[in-house]
Amino acid sequence: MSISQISILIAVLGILVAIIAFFWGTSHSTKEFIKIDNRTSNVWKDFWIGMILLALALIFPAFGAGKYLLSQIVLFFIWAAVVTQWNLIFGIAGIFTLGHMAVFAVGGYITSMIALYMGWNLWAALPVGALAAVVFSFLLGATIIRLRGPYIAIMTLAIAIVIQKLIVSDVDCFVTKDLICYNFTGGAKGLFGYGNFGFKELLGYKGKIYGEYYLSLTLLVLSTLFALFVIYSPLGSTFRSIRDNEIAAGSRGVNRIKYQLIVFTVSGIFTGLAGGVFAGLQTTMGPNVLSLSLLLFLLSMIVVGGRGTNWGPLIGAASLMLADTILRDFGQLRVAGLSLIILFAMIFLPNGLIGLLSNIFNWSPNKKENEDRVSIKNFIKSDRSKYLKRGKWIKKFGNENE
Amino acid sequence: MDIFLQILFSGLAVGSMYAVGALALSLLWGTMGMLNLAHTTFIALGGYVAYFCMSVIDASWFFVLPLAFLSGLVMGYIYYHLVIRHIYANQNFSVNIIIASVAIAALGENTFLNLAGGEALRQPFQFTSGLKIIGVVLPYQTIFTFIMVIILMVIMALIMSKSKLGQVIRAVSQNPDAAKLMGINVQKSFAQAMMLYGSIAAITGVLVTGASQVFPSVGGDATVKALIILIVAGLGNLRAGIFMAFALGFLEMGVNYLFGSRYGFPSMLGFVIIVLLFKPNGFFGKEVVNRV
Amino acid sequence: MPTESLRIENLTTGYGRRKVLKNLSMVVEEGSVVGIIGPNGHGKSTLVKALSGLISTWEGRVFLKNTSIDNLPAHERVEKGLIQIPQGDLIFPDMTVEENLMLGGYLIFDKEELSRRLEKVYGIFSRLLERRKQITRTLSGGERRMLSIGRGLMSEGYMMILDEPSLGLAPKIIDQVYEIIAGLRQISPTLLVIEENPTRLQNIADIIYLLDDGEFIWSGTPSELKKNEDMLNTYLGI
Repeated sequence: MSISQISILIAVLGILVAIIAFFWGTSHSTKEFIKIDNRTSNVWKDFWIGMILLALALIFPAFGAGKYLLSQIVLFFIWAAVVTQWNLIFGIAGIFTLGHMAVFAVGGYITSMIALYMGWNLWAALPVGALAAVVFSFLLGATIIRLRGPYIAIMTLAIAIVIQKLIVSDVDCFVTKDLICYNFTGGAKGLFGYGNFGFKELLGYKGKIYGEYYLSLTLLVLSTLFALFVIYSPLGSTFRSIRDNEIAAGSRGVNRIKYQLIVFTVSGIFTGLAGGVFAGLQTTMGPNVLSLSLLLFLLSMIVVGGRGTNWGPLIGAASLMLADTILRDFGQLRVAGLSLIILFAMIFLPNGLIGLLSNIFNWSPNKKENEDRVSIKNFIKSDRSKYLKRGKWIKKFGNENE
Repeated sequence: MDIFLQILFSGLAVGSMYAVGALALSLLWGTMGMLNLAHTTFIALGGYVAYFCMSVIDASWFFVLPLAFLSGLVMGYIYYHLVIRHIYANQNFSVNIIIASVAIAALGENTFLNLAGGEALRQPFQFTSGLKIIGVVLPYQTIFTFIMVIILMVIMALIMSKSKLGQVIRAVSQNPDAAKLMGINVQKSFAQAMMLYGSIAAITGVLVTGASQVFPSVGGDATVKALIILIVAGLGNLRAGIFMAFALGFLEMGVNYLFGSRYGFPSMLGFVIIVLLFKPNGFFGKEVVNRV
Repeated sequence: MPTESLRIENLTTGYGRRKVLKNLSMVVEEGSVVGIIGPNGHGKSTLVKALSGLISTWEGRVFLKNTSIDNLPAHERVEKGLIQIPQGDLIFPDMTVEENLMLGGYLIFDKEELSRRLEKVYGIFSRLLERRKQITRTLSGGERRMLSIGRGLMSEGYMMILDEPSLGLAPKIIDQVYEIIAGLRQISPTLLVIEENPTRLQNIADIIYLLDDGEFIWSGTPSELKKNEDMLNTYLGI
């Protein structure tokens, strides 16, 4: 299957997601307080979007897509699962972490280490890896949560860099087999030889990719469900109230830090699971998951898709995977292309593709901008209206006097 | 005694390196509230300019610093007008600019990689020998960098307190709206601050790469370290930042010599994290009061 | 016939998607003092910000001396001579009094002229002379207002807008501030004074406008206003 075919397929998929998402629009725009009454209908909208996407994804392999395309989609599912969780922290809870890949790496490394050193089956190691990621996520969150926004970004980035450096510089032998030295963390080479999910034995050589496909799809579905659950839970509306006015929310006794830490910690489950699945499917786990270019790649998914929106990360992941397929042909310039995409999105699409779509579809030539405010004001001081008329009369009268 | 002197000298070397970074970066935080991860691009720029000047076109060392100054100035101008200005117009600038500057850093690294190749080059603008004190060598490069830090600090302090540019930069940083009402063109003064920053950063790039070598990602670590030094010192407090730069430089080198070089940066970060746990606004930082 | 100093035509503006000012029109004649009164939260400060360029104009036009200024950024409006004396908080808190005043003369490059004006301001506000080396963060509310006015005087603009000069001050200080404002007419003859209530304005203003919910609902001379005390009660609860 050629690259152009792949591009077209991914593009079609992305456009489908986009069109469906339009029906639901941006959930967290400035009109939030009006939409709050429509929350139940939003849930149903999201439900149907999810169902349609899921149905598409489930039957997609039946169209006889090639192995390369499927493996790209597997990667897309994993990254989409990761950025959905990242968006939950970054866009919804407002914790500007750049260390999300560290949580992912902890999940992946612990899963593969347990399989490698303790001889566990990878399936059994997955939950342990996820648990480790949760613990790490909690520790990371507890360390940085009280800092100001830009501080958090720098500190989490520094932590991720330090973890990568520690792994790369690990040269002590942990196990020596056949005179070859294996480091505890795998060092710069990474960990390997810890087995896989056993799809080959179960489904045969040809069926292996389908097993991988549905496993990563399951991961994405669970991750999305969890994200939507948080968004529609009281926790989600708490964060919206904090975002609208932190001081007002604080004075009503909303403890921002507590809720942020909860979301930060719990999102570690699926990030860690994604790490474990990634490790199992790639069959090697190396420090390159903490590289700057991968960070940039995933970050641009969130930024391009639309921060703080329900389906933005998914659209962002789809479009970035597509862009990456094209950029791969340019080899050396790939990173430069990614940087340009992220800069372009930040300057011209501050609300991402979702924001662009909702702007296009919500646009109308003579919109009444002021309706909601006037109605609220009228309600508050309806008894003023008669004075207003009288004031106009006085104005007239005054002019006559002149 | 030997090891103590070793730690002292190399701590002085990296401390001055972090101090020049902190010096330049704090200017941007003070003016626009911007943490610039693309500092690494300016460092690499300075390094490559020095390499280009002396090794490619065989010019005299005399031209290196002025050329670095100029190229940093131009880069700062371009960076401001192509990127920062537009991101400043949107909301959430202080976080968005970090993302954007990560992208700029990657773009810069990639550009240098494509233009000059990935291998480490010897940057010729440096002193090779050193001063011998009780058997331990104190490189002239370290002394030179240290003196340059002091000179740059004095120049910065003079610019900020005496010149009209400094006055305007301070006014804009304290109250942008009030500055506009005084007839100050805020955008123009941001651009000027960015150019001043760029030229200082490029000069520090010459100094930093003189101590090591020049390669596309040369300034990456130094940038992140300078930023966390500024954070732990409390942003907006330059004197505390310079002090912290040397203190953490000594800490890092001490750990490097005693426990192995891979633990220097982690222990430095650990120290910073512990400080921030107790003082989220930094060691010398003030509580920020948001008026309603 | 007196020339027009400031002309506002159908000015509409607001924040984000919220409309605050609706179709405001007014004319300020050269050499006159115009007062604008109105309850809190009905667009007084928004009007000041729209005039000085801190927020953009959605619709309508603003003319200063018959040249359109509604598309100009704030600093260019200052260059044209439209000086705003803001409410208390728009000072530079970490600078000395003198540095604040010098920034008021930012557009003047002649050093002798600058020091001449500085002396003049110190002549009016002897309090500021006493505190010239003090950091403004430590000043009292009244002193800050003096600083704010003094800083505006440094530029000797063509027209001055004073945003609630009596806000949050003790009555005794307000008296002083208004004495100074009355004296301002000699330096900058055209004034636009924004206040919440008209008691002080009545003595100095030529025309008073009443702003309610983003619209001018009445205008007239102070003596006419006195006749309509009934209306004042309604709007301002005095």
